[in-house]
Amino acid sequence: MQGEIIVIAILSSIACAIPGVFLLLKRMALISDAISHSILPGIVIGFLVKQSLNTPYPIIGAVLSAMVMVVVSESLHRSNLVKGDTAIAVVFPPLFSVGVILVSIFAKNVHLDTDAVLLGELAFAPFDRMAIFNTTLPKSMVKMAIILVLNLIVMIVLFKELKVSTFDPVLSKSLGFSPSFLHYLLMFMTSITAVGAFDSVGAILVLAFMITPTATALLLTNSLFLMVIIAFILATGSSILGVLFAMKIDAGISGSITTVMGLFFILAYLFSPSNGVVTRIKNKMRIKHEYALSIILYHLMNHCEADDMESECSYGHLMDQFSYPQRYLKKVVHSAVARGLVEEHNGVFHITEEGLKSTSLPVYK
Amino acid sequence: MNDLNNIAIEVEDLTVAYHHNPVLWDIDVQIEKGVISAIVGPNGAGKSTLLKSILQLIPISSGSITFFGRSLKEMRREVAYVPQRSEVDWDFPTTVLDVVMMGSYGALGWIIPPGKRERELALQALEKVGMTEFANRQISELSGGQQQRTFIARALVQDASIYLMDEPFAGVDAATEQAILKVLRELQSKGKTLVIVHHDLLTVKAYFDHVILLNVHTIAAGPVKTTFTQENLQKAYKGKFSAFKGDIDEFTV
Amino acid sequence: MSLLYEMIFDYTLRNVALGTLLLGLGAGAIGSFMTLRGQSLIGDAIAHATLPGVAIAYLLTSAKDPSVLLIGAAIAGVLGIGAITVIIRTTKIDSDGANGIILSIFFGLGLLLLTYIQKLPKSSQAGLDRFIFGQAATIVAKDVVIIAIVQFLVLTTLVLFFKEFKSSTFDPQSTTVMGFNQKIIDFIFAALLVAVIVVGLQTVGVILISALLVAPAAAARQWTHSLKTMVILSSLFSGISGMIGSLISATGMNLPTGPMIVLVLTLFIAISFLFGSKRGVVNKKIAQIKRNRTFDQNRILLALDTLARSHEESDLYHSSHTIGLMVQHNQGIKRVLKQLTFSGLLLVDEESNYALSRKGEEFVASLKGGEGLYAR
Repeated sequence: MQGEIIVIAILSSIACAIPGVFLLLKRMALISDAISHSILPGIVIGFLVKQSLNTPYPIIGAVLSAMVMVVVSESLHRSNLVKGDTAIAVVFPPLFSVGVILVSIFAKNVHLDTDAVLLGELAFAPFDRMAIFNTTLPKSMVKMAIILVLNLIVMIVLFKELKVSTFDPVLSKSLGFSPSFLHYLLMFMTSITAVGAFDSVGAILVLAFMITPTATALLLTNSLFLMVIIAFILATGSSILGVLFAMKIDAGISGSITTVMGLFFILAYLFSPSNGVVTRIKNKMRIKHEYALSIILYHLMNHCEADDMESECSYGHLMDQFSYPQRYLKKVVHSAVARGLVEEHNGVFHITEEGLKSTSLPVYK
Repeated sequence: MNDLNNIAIEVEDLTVAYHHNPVLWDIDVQIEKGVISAIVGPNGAGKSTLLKSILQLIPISSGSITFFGRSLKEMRREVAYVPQRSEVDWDFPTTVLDVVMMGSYGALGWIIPPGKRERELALQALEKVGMTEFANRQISELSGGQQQRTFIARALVQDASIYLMDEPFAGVDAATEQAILKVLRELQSKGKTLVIVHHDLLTVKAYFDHVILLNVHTIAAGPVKTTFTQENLQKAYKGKFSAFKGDIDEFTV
Repeated sequence: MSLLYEMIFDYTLRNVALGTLLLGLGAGAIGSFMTLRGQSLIGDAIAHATLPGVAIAYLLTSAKDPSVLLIGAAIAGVLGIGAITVIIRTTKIDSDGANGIILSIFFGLGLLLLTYIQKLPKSSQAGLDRFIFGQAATIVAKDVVIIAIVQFLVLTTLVLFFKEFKSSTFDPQSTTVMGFNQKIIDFIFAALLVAVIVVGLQTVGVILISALLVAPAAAARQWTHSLKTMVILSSLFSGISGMIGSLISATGMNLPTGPMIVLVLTLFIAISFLFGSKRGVVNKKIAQIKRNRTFDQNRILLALDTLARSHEESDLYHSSHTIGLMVQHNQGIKRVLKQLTFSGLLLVDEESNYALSRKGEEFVASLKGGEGLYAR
């Protein structure tokens, strides 16, 4: 049973990662939050149709209300009455509120527990089973598997188009890939995934599943393809570790998975070879070093043959001329000597052949 | 060693780099008091960056900058900045007069609100730029030229000694261009120093007396007459300049 | 009417009304700046980010006293803003992504801790529902006092630093050059935001607090072009919505507070968007119709002027058909001609032909800047 939970978690997190990648890159990450909150009224209304969650109506209703949110907030944005994110921030709360109110009026007693909808509970998933082929499987597993496959198909088939429309909408249009069609497709995919995941992951954490592994991957690579792969790997790893940890301390599973995803993010933030904090600090120091080196080399180059070489190129003078702290200057000069760019004779420095060659200016625009 | 009172801005060894890309490298520039200086160069050459790093709006990798021999911190009251129009949201709910009054905030310091005196100063500045009737106009209703004049008025209120402006002449109508020029010349006659990122090579000789040619490095800097030469422009624009045929003097307006 | 009576004399209702009113005041004010800075969703992120603070505060102190928990929430909120800022500044992730990440990670951690707490022997349902949905109906006098103090501090700070907020929102660069440390301004702003959110969580809940911050500001913007008025209107909208919403919820069919408040707010917004005097859709339409009408009128007058120049003095009257040809637009022209005659700008003869009156001539002259045929 634990295995089943892990499988469902993995399926959910990978399914979420797919729209997540494109949303994050398009700077629309928070739309997924808005969407996952907006599905509530649709679910409730769909539930009310047949007083059951086991019909397709809740799902249809959910996707519909999510798309309502998307459409309304976009026309609001276009009308210029509000700017930027404000459109979203103003549209999803009323939808969510309607949902909550409907729940409290009509469904308080029955299976629709707001906690479950919002927070999900993977631990209960194995108890809700359906018969398929020769065995029974948890419904969520089947559901998420289907959604995952659908998402994968869309992504693989339209990878090129999605890539272009994400990074260069103008180019996309000129190539004939309608960016707005792709955009709505993405919104639709996000809605379906959010709906599918709400009972296992919970509405609030759909955002986390969609964004966090992707963001971590973003810190590790610049290639879209690698980003997707890394996000998948991270999603899988977080799911496994998250479930195990939650079972150990007897806590909520989706929260646990999210926390693990967060840890991965922090690790990437600090140690990413391309973007991490550590690398940044190193880069900064390196540029400073390179610059100090280059001005010293210039100085030596200009005074190499001069009569005042003795005074200009001695250690003491270098220290006076350049306003660097003594220890730093020493370090730079010594590294120059070690690299064979500068030689020292009796306390006076000369630039070498190597050094002369290396004095190329940074590129002009 | 030049008299400190004469060097309005001194930039030494300024380097600004993002990741591995140098945007400004080893910039050395001296700007004397009382000049109107143009900073020109191709796109991406670091012109705006130079202004911003002088004003400590962006972090620098190395170098030092002094104003009349002092640090920016000590000289804040003497330095005024006019950013590019596009770097501001003109949909902000405020009037022209309000924006101009913002120029007096620096002198007021924290917490103290602007009063009658500041309002007066703002109105005077508006008159200098010919925008008095627009005082209560919403800034979203302004044309490009009117926006620029508002910005200049705001800088005037500060009554600084040094004015740094980023492309004030870009995208404005001819009348505004002349109005701004008049204001600048008036400032210069009062002994103020002006450093302006300029986009239009054709007007450099007519509007400025000092020029800095920039392309990641300082290509050349000095009086327009001697510095704004064919040779230097070639160096700065590296081949993109061949579009200009003929003598450089034909650029005089 | 009995509601009003109860509002004043019923202890609970009075507290509820006061509490949510005060809460809204601060929220609307700070929310104005939030939206203008383009940070509409940061309230959402911070609100979610407070959860682990509450949980940890509880774990450390085992106290159910809300004040302790609120302090934990505040600390978490401040850390959250700090983390968002750091991520934006040091990575290629933008504000949208940073908000999302902090929201997710903090809230996920909070949930983890909370579900763990719920399983602990001593604690009961640690109020997760209340945290998510808010429960204004349980506001007591002590809460109102706390809310009042916090709001007072928030509003006072806002007033004190109004010009700094205004300038740094409009043009952060120039503000920095003038000597105002942007970091300090950001910090004050963040502190106010966290204060308002933390205090508001109890009333409206996590998910909806962002609405209380952003919606009234968006509504207020439609009515004014002045920042000061916008902030004041926004506070009022927020406070009144809060009050009405929570009252309905408390006395009605036991509907949850947060959602009711949001619905009232949405009503305010809808009205503002449609009818707002400065940008409302309806008003814009009306303004446009007026403009079109003026445009038509002017074109007709100018057309008659042109015709007059090319004809003899005796032949100044022209049929509506001719005029219609001149302006290339025949539809509804008779109506406009009648309007112009009614306003005294045109004269009409027995054959329903029109000419410019004296007044009309003067008007045309003014249109053309004093160079018309009839310029005085």
